[in-house]
Amino acid sequence: MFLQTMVTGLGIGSIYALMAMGYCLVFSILNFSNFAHGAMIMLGAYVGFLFCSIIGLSFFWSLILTAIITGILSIINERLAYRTLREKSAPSLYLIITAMGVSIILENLVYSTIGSNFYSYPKIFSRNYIEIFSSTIGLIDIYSFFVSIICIILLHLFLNYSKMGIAIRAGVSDPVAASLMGANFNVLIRNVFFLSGIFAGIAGVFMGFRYMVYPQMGWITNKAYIAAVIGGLGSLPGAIIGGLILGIIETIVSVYISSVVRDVFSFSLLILILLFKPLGLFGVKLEDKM
Amino acid sequence: MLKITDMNVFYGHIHAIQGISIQVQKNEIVSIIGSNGAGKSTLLGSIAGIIKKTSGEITFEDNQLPAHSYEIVKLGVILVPERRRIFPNLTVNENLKMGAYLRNDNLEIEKDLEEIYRLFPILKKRTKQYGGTLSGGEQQMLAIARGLMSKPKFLMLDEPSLGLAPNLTEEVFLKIKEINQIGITILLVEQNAFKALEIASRAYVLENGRITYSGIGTEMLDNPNIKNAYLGV
Ligand SMILES: Nc1ncnc2c1ncn2[C@@H]1O[C@H](COP(=O)(O)OP(=O)(O)OP(=O)(O)O)[C@@H](O)[C@H]1O
Ligand SMILES: [Mg+2]
Repeated sequence: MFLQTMVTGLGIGSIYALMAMGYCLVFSILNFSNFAHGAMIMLGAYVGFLFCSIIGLSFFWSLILTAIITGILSIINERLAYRTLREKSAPSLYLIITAMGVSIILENLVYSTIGSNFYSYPKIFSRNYIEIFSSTIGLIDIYSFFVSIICIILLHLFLNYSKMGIAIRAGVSDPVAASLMGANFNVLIRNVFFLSGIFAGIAGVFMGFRYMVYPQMGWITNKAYIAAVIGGLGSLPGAIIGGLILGIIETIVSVYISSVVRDVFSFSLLILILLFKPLGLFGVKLEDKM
Repeated sequence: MLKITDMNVFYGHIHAIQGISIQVQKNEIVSIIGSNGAGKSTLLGSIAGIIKKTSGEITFEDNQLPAHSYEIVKLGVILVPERRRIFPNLTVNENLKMGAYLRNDNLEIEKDLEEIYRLFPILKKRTKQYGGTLSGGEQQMLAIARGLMSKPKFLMLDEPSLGLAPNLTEEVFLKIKEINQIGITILLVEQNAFKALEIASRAYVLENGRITYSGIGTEMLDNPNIKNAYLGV
């Protein structure tokens, strides 16, 4: 029972971590909460469903293609909705409100075109569970955990060893100085949104697979926000740890108390952290702002 | 090499640069001295493209400078900004690599890194240390070194001696001379007027957004007005 709870917790937690990282990437470079991130996750779930269920691609390829598509959608989102505001150096509150607007538009767009039906992904594994030490372990938990780990490692390598990654970290701490080195801030932002969209798409497919696909599923980004706050807003390692912790706590609460109070618990945790440890577990030290 | 004609810069209603014209020839060291708020950083920022000029013309090697800083950097016009602006969350090595952001000649970059570490031995011991944890003097060296990594033709330095102890100031000025000798033209802004005039082939005095004097650096050292106002004699 305990092993099973932990694995499920890590499985869900790793998806929260993916969502929180995508959210955190944008937050750390533009200093605003991109509430349209949830809508990207929702679109990812639909796009993945299209590939997986209607076109009939394998889960793996659906995941990859969805990630690329939401990455591009995320770039378009920035280009159309945020760039003009940025160029007028609007305060971040304006960006936050615009992001909420984008999220409402996208949600309603899906409503009015695809409808409010709930869809579920087809079976992807021949069996959904395996037995280890007499615990039943969900294969999707293992799958999502490993995909997340791979994403985290790739992101880490990108940010620390590629020229563009280093430039993004430079832009996070001082955009003007980065432009004095020849970096075009708009290009840095575009790449950050691409990455953020990739993470949203992957998280969306897993979310859709695990639960259902429906227009309001973007609310789940609240969990990403909680995860990011637990870890310390703006810190990538914090987002990862925060996501995993949240996943495990939620699963423990569902299993040992009741799944009804799960969300009550999560939001109470958010309030407690904001009250007593507003910088989160990882604070934000300069060195690990990203 | 660089020519500014009748440039004006406004911050809202503040007229920070008021019709300035200056020139820098190839291989020169030109200094700009002036008191606080005279407009020195504004002048350099406008050349580097991080501050938008209201009117006037800036040409570099007889071509208009483009509008965006990242395009200006491509031409080899580099600003080492006021207060260094080292990336605190990047290591020394990464800061230097950022300097080479627009270059694709990876082998050359590695060679230049070696060269930089020879010129600034202080940095070599600290390649893996975060920029934010360096001392002020080390940060200044890193800022200059980072500027050099872009292979500048024209290097602008905004108050490189700011906050440095006298012996480090001495060292920074030696480095500037050394950099000039390898063929890099230098436009220097300084509070330390004595040092700035001593090292310069020519110099300008900037007061309230206008050029009030210009001349040969060493001759200006003997000018009684300048002595009075800037050398505290
Ligand atoms: N962003 C800004 N907004 C409004 N006014 C500004 C801004 N930056 C500079 N100024 C004003 O423009 C004038 C010139 O400033 P600048 O920074 O160019 O001076 P400086 O000669 O570099 O001074 P210092 O020696 O103190 O560095 C000052 O009066 C300053 O208050
Ligand atoms: Mg200044």
